[in-house]
Amino acid sequence: MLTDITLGQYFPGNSLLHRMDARVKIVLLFFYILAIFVLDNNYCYALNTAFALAAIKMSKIPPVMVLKSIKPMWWILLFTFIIQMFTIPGETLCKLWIFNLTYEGIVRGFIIALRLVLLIAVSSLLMFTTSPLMLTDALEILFAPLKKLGFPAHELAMMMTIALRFIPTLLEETDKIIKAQKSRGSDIGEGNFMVKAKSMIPILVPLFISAFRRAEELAMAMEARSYRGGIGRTRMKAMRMHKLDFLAIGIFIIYLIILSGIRICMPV
Amino acid sequence: MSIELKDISYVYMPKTPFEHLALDNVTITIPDGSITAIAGHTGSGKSTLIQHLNGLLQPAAGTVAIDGTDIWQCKDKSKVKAAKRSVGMVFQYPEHQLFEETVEADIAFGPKNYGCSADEIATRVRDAMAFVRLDYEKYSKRSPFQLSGGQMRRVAIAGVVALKPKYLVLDEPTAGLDPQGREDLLQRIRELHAKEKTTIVIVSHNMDDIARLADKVIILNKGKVAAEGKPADVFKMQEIIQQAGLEVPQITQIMEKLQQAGLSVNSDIYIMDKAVEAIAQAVRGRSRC
Repeated sequence: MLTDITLGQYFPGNSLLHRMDARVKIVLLFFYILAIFVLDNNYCYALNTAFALAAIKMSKIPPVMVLKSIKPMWWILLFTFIIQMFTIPGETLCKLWIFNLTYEGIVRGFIIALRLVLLIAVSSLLMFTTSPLMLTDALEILFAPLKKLGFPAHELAMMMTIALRFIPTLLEETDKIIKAQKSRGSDIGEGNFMVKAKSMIPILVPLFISAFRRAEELAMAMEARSYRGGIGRTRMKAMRMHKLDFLAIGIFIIYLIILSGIRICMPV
Repeated sequence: MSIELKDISYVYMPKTPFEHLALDNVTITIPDGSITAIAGHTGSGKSTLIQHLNGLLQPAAGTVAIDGTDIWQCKDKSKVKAAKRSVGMVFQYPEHQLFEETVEADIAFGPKNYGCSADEIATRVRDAMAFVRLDYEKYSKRSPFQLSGGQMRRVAIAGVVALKPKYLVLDEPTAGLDPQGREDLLQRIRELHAKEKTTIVIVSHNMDDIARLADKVIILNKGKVAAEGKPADVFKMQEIIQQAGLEVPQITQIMEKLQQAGLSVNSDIYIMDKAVEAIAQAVRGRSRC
């Protein structure tokens, strides 16, 4: 069924990662990704992989869910791996037409694929453990300094919140309209392209109308509550850093120092 | 013949943390020619239940048989289609499904899909509009989006009535209507039942509506059938009704209070005329003493 989707992937729980401040999570993720790409050293990759696995374990998210988030990227991973395998010069293992399969290529391809997997896995972990509302709030605060340059941080965050909020509502609406038109004998998704496209009209027209109606109602409701954008607006639930967050930051800084140390001392 | 649901269970979002058992082993029968009311609090599973009546949802367990055809087991595709099509479905706020440029075209959408001839469609549209009391000359060429909310709802209901279903399922048809529109609509439904012999299934949490309309009541509570039977019998089960988050009809409540106050009336009365009669009789009996 259409409504059987999870909003933004959020997976409710009460693990350490769930309880961390969303801002801290985003910043740490940023530095982690930086570390993956900058500190190109085999030991660093091993440590980074261990870090990712530990984070997954700590989040108490079923590992299958994390694997599922990698699944859509599967073809890109394979593609980069194969390209690397044949294009990196080095000790030739075998020759396929004009392509040389090299040992270095395989290693390089594996490392690049690993980087991408880590990137996706840890980013999706952020999505899994942070509710969409927390995420947009955190983004707004993190982008707040850019307001001075005219960057509409609050507006963007509000748009994201509203969009996320209405995804399930609109899906539900779509589901209901499809069912209603099906009950009136419309065969949705059958026949050739033209027939299919035509059978979408009875769904799209009501859906657009209801989306506009909802937008209008929402705008009115926001205005009735004197919404005037972000200037001078306070929060009902202010984000506050706790012991856990400072601890996480501390551990992460130590981790980064160790990684950099390895990178400097062991240049392999 | 009838619609029979047997041991139906339905789960929303299975195998996720949001898993929710919406229907738990529900067995109900919609007898032919009845007006069956399904009542329940928000989230009791009534909307989920009615979507099983014409095969919009497939139960996780259990069987659905329309006039003896098991719509999920029967191999004969055309038979299943015919069975599903014998059930017309009016969803909550049906006016949100209108899409055509004119009222006429929107009402004709269903019959056209069913493969009716042009003449047949034209008569059905006229009949359906007459049924919901929309003047054909005045409204057929108008855009449905220019109409008032109540009129739009009538157009949407006409769109389903034009299918001439054997069973008509209505999910909260009076929601958001003013008292006059509500009374009108219930009257139309009663007429459809009397004239066309259409079996009616009506979902509502308004027990007063149910009391006036239904000859069978099913009370749902948390995905289970809490009570099922004739209105008089069901309304007696006050405790079950209250547990389900509903209230017995106002008239029954009044009769109950009168009885407690010492007036000798039956408390299982739920229709206005009968209540008036009973009270009058009781008062007369008292003054004689």
